[in-house]
Parts: sequence; structure tokens; C-alpha cells
Amino acid sequence: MRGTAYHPAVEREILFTGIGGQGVQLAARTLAEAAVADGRRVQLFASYGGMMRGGNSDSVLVVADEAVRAPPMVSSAWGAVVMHHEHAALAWSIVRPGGPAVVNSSIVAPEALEGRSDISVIPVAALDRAGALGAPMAASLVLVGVLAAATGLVSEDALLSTPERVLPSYRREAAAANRQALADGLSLVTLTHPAWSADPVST
Amino acid sequence: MERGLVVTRQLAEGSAIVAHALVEAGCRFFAGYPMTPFTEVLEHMAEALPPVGGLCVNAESELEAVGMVWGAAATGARAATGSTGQGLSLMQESIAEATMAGIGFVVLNMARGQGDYFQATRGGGHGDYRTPVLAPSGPADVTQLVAEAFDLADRWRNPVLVVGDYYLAHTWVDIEVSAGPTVPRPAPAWALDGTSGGSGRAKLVSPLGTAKQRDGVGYDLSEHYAACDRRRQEMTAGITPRSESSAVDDAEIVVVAYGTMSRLAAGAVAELRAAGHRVGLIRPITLWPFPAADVLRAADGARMVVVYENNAGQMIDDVRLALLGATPVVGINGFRTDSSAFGIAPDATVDALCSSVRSLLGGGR
Repeated sequence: MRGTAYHPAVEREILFTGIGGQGVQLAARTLAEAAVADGRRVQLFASYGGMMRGGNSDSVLVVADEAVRAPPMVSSAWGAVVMHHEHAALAWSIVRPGGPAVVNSSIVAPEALEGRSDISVIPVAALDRAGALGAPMAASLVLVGVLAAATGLVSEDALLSTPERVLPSYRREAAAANRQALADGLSLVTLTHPAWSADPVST
Repeated sequence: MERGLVVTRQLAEGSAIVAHALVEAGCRFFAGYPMTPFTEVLEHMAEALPPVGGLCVNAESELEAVGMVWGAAATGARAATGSTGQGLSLMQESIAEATMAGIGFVVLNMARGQGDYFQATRGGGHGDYRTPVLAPSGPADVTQLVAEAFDLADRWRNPVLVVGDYYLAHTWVDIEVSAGPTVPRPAPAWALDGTSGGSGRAKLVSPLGTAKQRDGVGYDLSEHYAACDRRRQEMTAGITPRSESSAVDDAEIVVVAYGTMSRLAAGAVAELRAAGHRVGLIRPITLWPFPAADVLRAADGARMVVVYENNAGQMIDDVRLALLGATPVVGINGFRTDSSAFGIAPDATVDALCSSVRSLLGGGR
């Protein structure tokens, strides 16, 4: 613009999807807060219906190494966090080939994955693991921990610093359990889809 | 930002940034009736106003909300209300009357899409009035434009609209948020102070005029209406229409878009330019007065103007009026919306706009 060459920023779009009540929005907020703590630029768009529970709950997070130019409404995404098969179709339709999709295999039926063998699915029994920690409501944060470990999208320190910041004051007592869930996810996998080095994923 | 003392970069939701902007601009009275995505701003105002000595009221309806704001503004307070377009339909009578009473306040339209362009720029109320309309592109400039809206409301003693949408309300961004005291603004000399005489202040502020105790009995309405008309003409002449444009000088296609759509268009123009296509963008910042001369200038030399809006085609009328046939105008609008009914258009994306513009470029003359 203004006559200078346009250098596209590295932008990583993550779609979070599930049903209301599964912690989809909290998961997206948590990853966004961690990215800001790392000094990245972010935009996050939350979309959910009027139902408290059971309706679709989506969020698109864009993390970039410079200011995000366009609003976070995307027709394709780098990766996904999938909490429920009910609304997983969007993820299967927009994640680019090779992209990481961290999937809540406690709930998501295997047949939901059919048709997109080119997505790099990372199944995690998030609900079972969070339940074992005594915090089933933190299942989505196990997936966030896994995504962070698999991609390096955010640093471990930044991620573990977020729970107090993202919770409203009346839910602050859940911060410790949420941090445990994040740590559990971080411990499960190693770096396979680096977000910030040479891009292994077609862009 | 220069108004504040402490600046931190933090993750904030658009609706919270709008509320912060209102408080920073000195708004100390806010009333509204919940309706998504205006509700989110109302909730943040309920939290933000008491600590600074302000008052936020969840009114019984939009009619009461705008009436309360009228009352607060008549005492000289910086006051604001808002809703979605549906709620603003209910407020039109009061907005029209406020222009005749010479009362300035800010009205937010946190709209469901951009279907309220006509409502905002023409007004749905009675009489020969106008309301300035400012359209932030998103969280990044809403703070500045809300402050300017209050300045315009004070300067012209007229309601001023700020139009946003669900995207603005629900997008979280990392942003520098200032926190510092705002300088209290002295009540204007005409403002009501509760006395009925002796203070030199008005006793009555109404659509029939502003009267003091000694003004005598009765009103000359023809004189009052003539004065309103003079003020409207001064306001029309006194507000410089504003826009921002990029890459229009050598553009074959110039895109016109406001609000959220202008940022999608900016993303598309950047991508198309990177691919060597000569495409530019002009974004109206004031929707009224409409920056017609800027649009005409931006379109100079272009073979086509594309109006990109999240409605069935409304601003396109103003663009056609600005160009008066000088350049062909094509609308990209009429997007399907998702099941939330909040004006979210899944097909309004940078990629989709790039592809539409590419086919227009390839389509020849």
C-alpha cells in the first residue's frame, strides 16, 4: 500500500469449535492471552448462538508476528481445536492440508474425521484426562496445552500464566485446575507442527 | 491515547473498548435496553461508570433510554445511548426532537450487519434534520471516533451516531488501553441546573425552544424552526466529510467500504496489490456528511467502482450520487448470514472479495 511492497505477515489462524458449555470460548481466550503475553499480535472473533448450552460455539483466533490487518473472518485456517463432532464440519472444511487439528477424542466420533485424511489429526481424550484431574470442565484447556506443545504457537510460560487473567472474578477459584489441565496437555506431545519456523504446512 | 496516563497492551473485547472509549470521552450517563450486540456495551458501561461517578441505567425500553439520555444531556452531561438498528427505530422520534431542542448526545448503533445505513444517514424521524454519523473501522479507531462524536454533539448541539456491528463488539484484539482521568467538561451555559430562575440558566430545554424565566410567555415557533434550520445549515457546512484511501492513484478498480467491511477490503486490496493487480480502497469515515468529493477523486481514472457492504446495497446510492455517472458502479452485497441472525456473513472474507475483484478485473470493459 502507498506504493511500497506488501510483505504478508506470518498469520496463524486457529478455529475453535464445539457446543456451548464445553469451554470453547475460554480455550480461545486462553491461547489469545498467551500469545499477547509472548508479544504476538492477535485478533479473536467469537461467535455463539443464544443457547447457554448445546448450541454451536465457534471462535477464530489469528496470531501474527505483526498487526493483523483484516478482521478474523476466514475462509481457511492453519489449525483447529475440535471439541464436539456436532459442529466439526466447519473445521474439516476450512483447515488447510497438513494443518494440525487437536480433537477431543473422548466425544468426537471417529467417523467425523472421514473425508479429510490430509489434515494432521491429534486425538486427545481430553474429557477423560480432565476428569482424572478432577476438573472435567477444563477439557478444552487440555487441548490448548496439546496445541501449544505440538506447534509452539505460544510459549509454555505464557500459557501457564493465563488462567487468572481469563477468568471472571467469580470463577477465579478454577484457575489452579485450569493450569493443571494446560500443563497436562503440554506434557502429552512434542513439537511436530512448528508455527513460527519454516512452515511445514502449505499456506 | 493522549488523553490517558497509563498505557498497557492488553487483550480486550471490542465492546469493552467501545465502553472504555465512552468513559474516556467523558460520558457520565448511559442508558439502554439490552439487544445483542449492544447488550455487551451496556454491560461494560454498567461496570465502568460507577467508579468514575457516572450512572448507567438498564431502561425499560429503548424509548425510555433515549428519553433519559435527553434529560441527562439537557443538564450538560455527556450522555449516550444505543441499541441495534431495531432499537434505534424506536428512538427516532426522540432523536428528531432532540435536534430541535438543541441537545447533543451520542447514539451507538451496534448493528446486525450494515442494513441500517439508510436509517443512520437519512434518519427515520420527522422533520428537516440531520445527524452526523461516524463509522469506526474496528477496535483500533473507535476510541478516537467516539471522542470526536461527543465533540461534534457538543459543538452542534445535535445527536451524533456512531455505527458499529457484531464484529466490532465480539472481536478481541491486543490494544493499547489507556487509563487516566478525563478532564471534566464544564456544563454549557444553556444547561438546566434545576433552578427556575435567577441563575442565568435555561428553565426549559424542549423541541419548542430553550427558554429562560424572563423570556416571556409563548413561543414564536416560526422563529425557532428558522433558527433550527440555520443551525443545521451551519452544521452541514461546518463538518468536513472524512475518508481514508489507499492505493487509489493508479487503480483500475476502486473499492468503497466502511466499518468492518473496510478492513476486509483493506486485506483484499493488499493481497491483490501484492499479486500485481491495480486495486485501491476508499473508506468513508463520516457516513453523513458523505465524503462525495473524496470518492469522486478516488475514482478518477478507475474503470470501475465496487461498493462492498454487508446489506442489500445502501451506501451504493451515495456512491452513485457522488460519481454522477462518471464511473460505472458495481455492488458486492447481499451476503447470506449465519444462523445467529446477528449479521455475521460467513462469505464476507478477504479471500472471497479477492476472487470477486479478480473476476471483475478479468471481465474487461
